[in-house]
Amino acid sequence: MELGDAYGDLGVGMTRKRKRDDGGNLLSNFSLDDLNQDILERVLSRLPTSAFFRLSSVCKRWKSVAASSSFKYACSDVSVRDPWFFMVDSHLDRSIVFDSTEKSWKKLNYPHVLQSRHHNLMPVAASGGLICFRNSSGNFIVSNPLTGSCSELPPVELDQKNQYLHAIVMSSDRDGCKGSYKLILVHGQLPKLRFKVYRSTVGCWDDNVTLSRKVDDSIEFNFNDDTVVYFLSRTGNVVSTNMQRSPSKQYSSVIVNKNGEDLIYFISSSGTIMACNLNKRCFVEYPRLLPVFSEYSIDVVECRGEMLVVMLSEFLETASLRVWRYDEDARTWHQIAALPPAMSHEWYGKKIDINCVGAGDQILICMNSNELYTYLLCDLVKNQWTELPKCNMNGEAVEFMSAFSFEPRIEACV
Amino acid sequence: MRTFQLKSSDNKIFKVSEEIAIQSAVIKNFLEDFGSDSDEIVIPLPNVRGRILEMMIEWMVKHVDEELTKEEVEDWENKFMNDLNMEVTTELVMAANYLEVIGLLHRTCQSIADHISGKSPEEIRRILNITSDFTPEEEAEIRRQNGWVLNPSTN
Repeated sequence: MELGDAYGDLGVGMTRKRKRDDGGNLLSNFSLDDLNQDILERVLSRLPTSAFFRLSSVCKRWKSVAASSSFKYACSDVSVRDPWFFMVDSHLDRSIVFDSTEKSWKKLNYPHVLQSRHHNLMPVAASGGLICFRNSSGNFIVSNPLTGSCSELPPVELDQKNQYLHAIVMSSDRDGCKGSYKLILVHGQLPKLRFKVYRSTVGCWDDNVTLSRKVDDSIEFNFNDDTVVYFLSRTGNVVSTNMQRSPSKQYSSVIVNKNGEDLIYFISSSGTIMACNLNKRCFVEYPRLLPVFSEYSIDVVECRGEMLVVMLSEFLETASLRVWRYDEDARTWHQIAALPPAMSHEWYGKKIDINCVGAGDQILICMNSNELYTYLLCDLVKNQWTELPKCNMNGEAVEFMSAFSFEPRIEACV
Repeated sequence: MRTFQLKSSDNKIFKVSEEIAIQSAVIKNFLEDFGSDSDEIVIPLPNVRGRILEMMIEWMVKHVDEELTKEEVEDWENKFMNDLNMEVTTELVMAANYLEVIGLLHRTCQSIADHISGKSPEEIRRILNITSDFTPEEEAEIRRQNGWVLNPSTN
């Protein structure tokens, strides 16, 4: 199922000397075509992924590189790739990505197998070069969207129904020649939370681990607060009746590794941030960002190994979109970026739902309402906010609800 | 500090200190196997011509200079790479690969990749004098598979 299979390893080991002119000895007359296979692979591994695919039609030798295991090894040596955003629309059947290197929309070439065999495949998590989907029977399928290779994980037994599944996160590790990943579920009825881990290295699910509640005396604790909810929660209530437009984001959650500890953050049904420390096996509820009566839509993202919260709030007859960081020591939220008011004001009163994903220094924010939609890319370092172009397919603009970010890595194994 | 002599394919001699030379894994191994305290050691490098060896030594000298900050070294690297044409860069890649100067190998590979990444397959073929060995059908199929861009004109 690998790209490039058709041509096998034709051209591997060929040496092609095409020196232009034997007379020009004073000047260097080496050309890229003189490179041995090993160096050619090294050079091509450093191309942005789109450019690599585009240039695979140069000749058979270049095309053969995609199937070479040493090329994949060279690719794994590239520490960071610009993110691609895997877009989710209401049909869940398209495979459109936004390539942040070339700033353009692309359609992935999914093998038909993945599309026909798994109906209602919903993306739920992503990490490194992989995206995790969930099918209608609740099983997980991990796929490399570039190569279309995929594998279904063994069924997972959750003792409660999906309504008590709070977080689905994936983390990946590129160490070793093949790399590995973990899929982690946080489930259970609050305050009885548990987590379960799937490790690709062993190919099975670990037993459930119970998370104990760590009480933070300084914060009023209000579980099971089923009284009237005035705000836009992730699962949606009252203000926006359309919150379920993006079903794949109902498990909006992130994982970060801080000081060697795995921390998972998710949004509780009452709109607060829950932080689970898997190593210490405990969780804590963070204080609210805004008073309950401020209408808002909130999402949680991971950027540069840190959890951030993006929030759209409406206050004093205008809308504001801000990015917040939590200070563990001071137990307070700090604003680290804000959309210029001139840009956010037009969203006032539009009952906007935001769905966000972090990637390196950037956050992609999908903003949707019944009337409008747009996608903003926020660069946290430059504090720049850019609106992405509309995505046209067959002459029609496509509306996306949310996105997952992944690195386009041809070498990522499922 | 021990010093050695490196001899290029065109018989140019370069004196370098051990600290600088051992950035090349090949030279490091050579010295470990045959090392002595003598300054008389001449290490022949029949695959590298003098002009290229000179540039490699320039690179290695900069990368042991403790007075430079990381940013200064990066700035220097960028200028160093920008001043090179593709042919010289390619020759430098091969020399860095041969002598296993890993930092230089990575940087030169990246430089070539940056140079070709924005070009079309046709441009690459023209620049590198490569004739496509695909049949028109094969090429059309590859183009179809990689026909990803939806609306490239919007930006």
